[in-house]
Amino acid sequence: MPGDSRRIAGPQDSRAPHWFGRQQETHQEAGGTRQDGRGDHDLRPVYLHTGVVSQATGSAYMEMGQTKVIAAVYGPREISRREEFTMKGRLCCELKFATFSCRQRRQHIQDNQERDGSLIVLQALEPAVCLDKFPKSQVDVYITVLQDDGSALAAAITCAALGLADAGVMMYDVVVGCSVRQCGEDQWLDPSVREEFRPEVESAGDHGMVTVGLLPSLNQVSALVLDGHLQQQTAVQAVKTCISGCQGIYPILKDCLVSSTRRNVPSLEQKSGQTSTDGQNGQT
Amino acid sequence: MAADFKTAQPVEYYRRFLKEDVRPDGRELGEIRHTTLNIGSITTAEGSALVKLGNTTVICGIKAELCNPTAEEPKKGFVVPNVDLPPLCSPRFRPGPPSEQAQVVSQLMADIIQNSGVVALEDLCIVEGKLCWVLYCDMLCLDYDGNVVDTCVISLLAALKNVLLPEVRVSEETGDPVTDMEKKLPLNIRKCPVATTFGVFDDHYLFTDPTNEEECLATGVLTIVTTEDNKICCMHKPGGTPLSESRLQDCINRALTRAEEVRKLIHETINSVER
Repeated sequence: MPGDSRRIAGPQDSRAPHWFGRQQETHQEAGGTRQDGRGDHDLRPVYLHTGVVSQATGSAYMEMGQTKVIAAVYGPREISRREEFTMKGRLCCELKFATFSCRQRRQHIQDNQERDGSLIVLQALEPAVCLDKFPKSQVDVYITVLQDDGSALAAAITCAALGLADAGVMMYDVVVGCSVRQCGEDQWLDPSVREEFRPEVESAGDHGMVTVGLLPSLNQVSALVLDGHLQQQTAVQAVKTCISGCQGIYPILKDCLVSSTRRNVPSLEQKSGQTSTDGQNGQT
Repeated sequence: MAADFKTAQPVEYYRRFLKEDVRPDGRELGEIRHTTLNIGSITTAEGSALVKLGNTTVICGIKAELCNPTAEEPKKGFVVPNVDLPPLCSPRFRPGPPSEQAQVVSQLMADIIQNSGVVALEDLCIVEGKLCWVLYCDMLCLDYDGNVVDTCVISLLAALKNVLLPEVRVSEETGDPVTDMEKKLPLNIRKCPVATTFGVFDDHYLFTDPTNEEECLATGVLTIVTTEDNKICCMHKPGGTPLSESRLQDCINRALTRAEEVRKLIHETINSVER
């Protein structure tokens, strides 16, 4: 990394050990099912948790299989740089992959993929946040992918939305992200990293990846990213699969928010508990 | 009422607590927050560890790569530690290049690795003058609530103990390295450095493991790193209040007992993972 004097520099040139690996990993095709034994339209196990960063206004952690994402939300706070006056608030997103998150080591400085991802997450969240509720101020969302095992962008969208909800930022709806990988005839929901980087089969007509950000209770799509080349019919089908995937994650997210609110406001539970016992007393 | 007093007169608020030999979070002066350790959770890294010290959270991931050793030191590999304090972990950090504090902590980590001899760089050499390992040890702070140095050292040590390197042979025909990803070998960890940080308040109160608030109020900070043979391998006191010799001795004694506890914790965690 030339010109980075603020970090401790390693040797000029180094290569990951799997470059020199003897046998390349063979993709084993077991008829119908995927490598981890899921069906084509099955999600991996999802784990969500809020309030993981004590210093942040709101934060969330998400696991989808081995993909691990953490998001922290700060604000609404004053816009640091002097800019034009707006009655609308500003949302800022920064997506970063940890250096150790992928098989190939990533650099500290934000690369193009991360910048691209930041923008997609921002555009997915913007329609959901009531920006006119906090004029002249900004909300910062920082997302770090700790381990990328596929569908990292989709996980980042979900995690960021959950962080915003945890921070108490007013929103019309949460946003849930989900990805689909189309490879020839096969359509895989929530692909793992091996499925994402599958080499193109020469004869295959369709080859691509679709990521959707969905506002589940409004049933509106806030983000749609399509890489590769798909026939119109397949593309529509892939988006539909994504949406059904999002609807599958939504109940988990809802449960997580309800339980975190219970945790944060214990008085609420006590009060409701008291009133119920009072009611019972009244009845007896 | 207490909250108002704290906002208006934070130092006086603190002083009142310290007079009673207790801290606002209920700890005694020498007490250290609860330490939790999780080893090997990042499978894309060769070694990884997540450490929580109270609220402070640091995750360390180690990526190993192959490279050429330098001409000056043909028998030595590299260990490259970097501490990242991203804007995610605290509102005091802004996006952009590493802050001054991150640079200081990174350099301190490099010094600790070098002075303690936790990894012998000769162990990382595969073919003299031709091929060696470089270990990129990246420590990422996820939650900044003070005392990030101690947390980083624990995560680094635990992650190093978790490292498994693939076996490398050099093919005789071409001279290119060939790795066997199936066969993995652990790294030889020679020493176990553990850091303990103290905050100095009002020139005479000493408290261990300061939180973010305490760090802001402290008039000086002292970090002592010890290894298992009760040797001090690094002492870091960036300015601040001067300390008398006897106070320093107290700190060293506290650091030695703390280091023993942490080593026990790491040992137990590693054993539980392997089972």
